[in-house]
Amino acid sequence: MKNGPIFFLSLLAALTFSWVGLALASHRQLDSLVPYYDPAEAKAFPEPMPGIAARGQLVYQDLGCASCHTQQVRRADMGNDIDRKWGTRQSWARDYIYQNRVQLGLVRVGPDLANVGARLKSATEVYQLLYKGTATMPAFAFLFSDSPLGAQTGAIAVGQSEGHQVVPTRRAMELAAYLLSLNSPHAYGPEAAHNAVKPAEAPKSAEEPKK
Amino acid sequence: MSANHSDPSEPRRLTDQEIIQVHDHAGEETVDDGGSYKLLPLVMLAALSSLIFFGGTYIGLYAGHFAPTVHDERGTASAVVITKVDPAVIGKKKYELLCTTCHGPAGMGTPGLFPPLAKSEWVVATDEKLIRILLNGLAGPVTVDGKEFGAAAGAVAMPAIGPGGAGWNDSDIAAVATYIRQAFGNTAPEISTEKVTEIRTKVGTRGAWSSAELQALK
Amino acid sequence: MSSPSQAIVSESDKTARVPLVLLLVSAFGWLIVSTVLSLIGTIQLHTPTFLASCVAFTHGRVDAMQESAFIYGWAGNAAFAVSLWLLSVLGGTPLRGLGLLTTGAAFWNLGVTAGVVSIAAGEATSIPFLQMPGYIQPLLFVAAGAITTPAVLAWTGRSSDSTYASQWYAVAAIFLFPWLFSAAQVMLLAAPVHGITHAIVANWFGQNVITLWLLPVAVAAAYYLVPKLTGRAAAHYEFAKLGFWSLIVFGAWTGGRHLIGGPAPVWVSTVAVVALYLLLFHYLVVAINLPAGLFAWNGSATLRFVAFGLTAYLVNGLADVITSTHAVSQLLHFTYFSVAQSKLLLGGAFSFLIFAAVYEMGPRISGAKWPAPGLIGTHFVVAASGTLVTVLGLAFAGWSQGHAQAETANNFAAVAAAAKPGLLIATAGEAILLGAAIIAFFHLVRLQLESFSTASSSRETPAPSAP
Repeated sequence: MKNGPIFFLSLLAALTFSWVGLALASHRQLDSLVPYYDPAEAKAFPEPMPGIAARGQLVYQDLGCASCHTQQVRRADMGNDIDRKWGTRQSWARDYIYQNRVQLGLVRVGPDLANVGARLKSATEVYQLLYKGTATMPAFAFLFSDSPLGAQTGAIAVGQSEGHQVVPTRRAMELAAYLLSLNSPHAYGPEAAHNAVKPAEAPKSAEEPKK
Repeated sequence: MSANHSDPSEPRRLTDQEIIQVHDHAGEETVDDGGSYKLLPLVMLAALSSLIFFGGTYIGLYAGHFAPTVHDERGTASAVVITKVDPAVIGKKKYELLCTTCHGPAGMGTPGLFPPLAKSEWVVATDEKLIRILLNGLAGPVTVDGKEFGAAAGAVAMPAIGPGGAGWNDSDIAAVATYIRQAFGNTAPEISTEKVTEIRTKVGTRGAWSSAELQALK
Repeated sequence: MSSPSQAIVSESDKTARVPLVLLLVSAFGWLIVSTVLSLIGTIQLHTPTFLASCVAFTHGRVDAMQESAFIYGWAGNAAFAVSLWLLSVLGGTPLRGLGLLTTGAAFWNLGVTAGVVSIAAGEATSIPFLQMPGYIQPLLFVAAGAITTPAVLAWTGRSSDSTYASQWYAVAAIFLFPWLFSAAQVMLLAAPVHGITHAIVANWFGQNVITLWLLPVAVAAAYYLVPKLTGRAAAHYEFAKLGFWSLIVFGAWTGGRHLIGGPAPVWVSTVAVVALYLLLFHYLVVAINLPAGLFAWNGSATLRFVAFGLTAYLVNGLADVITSTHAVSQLLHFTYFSVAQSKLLLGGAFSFLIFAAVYEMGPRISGAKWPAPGLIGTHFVVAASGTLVTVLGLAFAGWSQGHAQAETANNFAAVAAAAKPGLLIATAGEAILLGAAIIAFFHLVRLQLESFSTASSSRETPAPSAP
């Protein structure tokens, strides 16, 4: 370690090497993923996110929803994500090509949201969840506002109290639109072929016979 | 620093310069000790090389050929991508896009105006004539299944959906031809894209056919 | 000043007092802030209604604020201070560029404060380890650059050609961070990449903040303190260089470890898993070099911090490999177990080695003794028990959560119920850790007050350090 410049260059080379290998290589590689055109549906998948949903993603970001919710379905032999009906298949990189800032998440305090749009029936259902909360999720009351009964708000009321109705704010509407847009069930040709593993190879069934 | 430094049981502290000095020449005399190699360097060498060997093998086996589409470490990028789509599925979409207007969703047509496709000899009996009608259209009266069509006032000619008309490509025309031959109770064999291409080349650019012209073909 | 012990408390220790004390006091202040936020966050995990009506304290924002306060507030400040000091004392040269250093340190803390406040106001980026908004990041980068310059000068201007392992680790950490930081700011915020690439770059950055910046400083402290306090040279030191380069070279590739089973192409996580295995060589070298005489419990309290920190460091290295295997990952990935692991690494290994370094450097830069030496032992007992209770509680919660989630019949209320006992234990642990952070902060502040009163009075200066 007597030679200063060579030491610093080696350090920088080690970091640059990993940057080229991980950051730059995946950038080049994943940029090659374009929407997959399905001739049978005569459409390309995934479909772009509507504008209001893209705004909703910003609400999702600033509230830090990713602290408790992941947005990645694991394949059948990595946990029971598919059994839990969080998706029909593993999440693939192509699902996220329209997202600016993916919200993969690290901990599942609540359910995975990668395909939550397929499970939620309507914006009203989202408002009910957000306004009332659940046993494991707090209520996000600050996403709602009071307005006099009968006022024209153009929004669906989620609750009433004497003379007032509770209506979602713009942020709540955007967030609901974002959640409803989350759904990518399409099995793109290349991924479907490249990840098909013979069922015999899937290590399972050790626990099953007991029950 | 703290009170226990005056404690005599405390080990002697090294000065900063001593720390550098005692470590400076470490290892230089340990390589060959009286002709016998020391064990530890060999063990460390073995540890590092076996880790690298293991890592190399692992990457070779489970890196999925470094392909962006492989998400399962046992998957392989060399698997053949099968994007074969049933022509009848595309044919149905195409049919619903354009043909239902006149021939109806069930291929029954309109009496006197638009001939049915179900049980039509023009559809099931001949591929040569069917492809020509689709490519270039059909004008004038025509007899289908023993009934007269297209002679009444208000009748519209069958438009071309090939060149000069809707401009569909050969595979779409083959798909819709296959669909109408296999739907509505029809059970004729499918029509290939190659066959459509062949006839398109033979016919060239022209206007709509008449019933008589087509009957004249063998 | 005739005592021979004065020789080691030479210029290099005292000249940089103002910036180093500024960094240290801010670091310990941020530790309190982040522990309070961590306590709030842990309570919210088992009682979701806690502070739920207040948007600034919604769980996602508390998490982001806690992470920023811990990484950039506590760990960043402390890592800067310890690596600068190590480079200065081992290089045998006083720090230069002190004005730049002080300015950098002040703006760094200003930036972190603004960042944490803006997260509370809803400006979080949602990028792990880079939660502070994009308009604050350039300020932090410039401040980091200002702090790095004196460190590089201390390395290049050292008085002897010979160097020691601590210096390599310290200078590597402080030199690589600005590069890493700027690459991440550009690729994630200024000219962001899209889709899964964004997640891969974010993971590359987040992991390297730990592996290439924070941990090397902790290891540098360990390499310095063990021979210093035990009076014995590191065993089989000839491997130290190999151990150093294996951390830098292999460690840089571990970025994909949180993407196992996720939507990144499989090679990203496969490469990370292999890098984790290769890192075992680094841990092996550290384990051979350092533990000599470490576990003599009659040793100083400072040595106990080193022993705890090194143990946590080595245990975590092994745990990383185990949790990356298919069988364990499918059960514990996405659970509190991963939170426990990062607590063990950052709150256990990193923080304890830094505490030890601060107990050594504090008196030497201030020119006064620790006012209450017994408090060092107390701090150790409180911090060690708090860390153990928190880590074990979270690990237990993660274990129960993983098993409960693996049963498809369990809804999330049932999963939460299974994890609750562990989370309650962890909450108690966080409360203990808050006590530890407060003890350390006030001891450090009292040391500074003591040294001022010592300097201003005409009393004889106490020997700040023993030989």
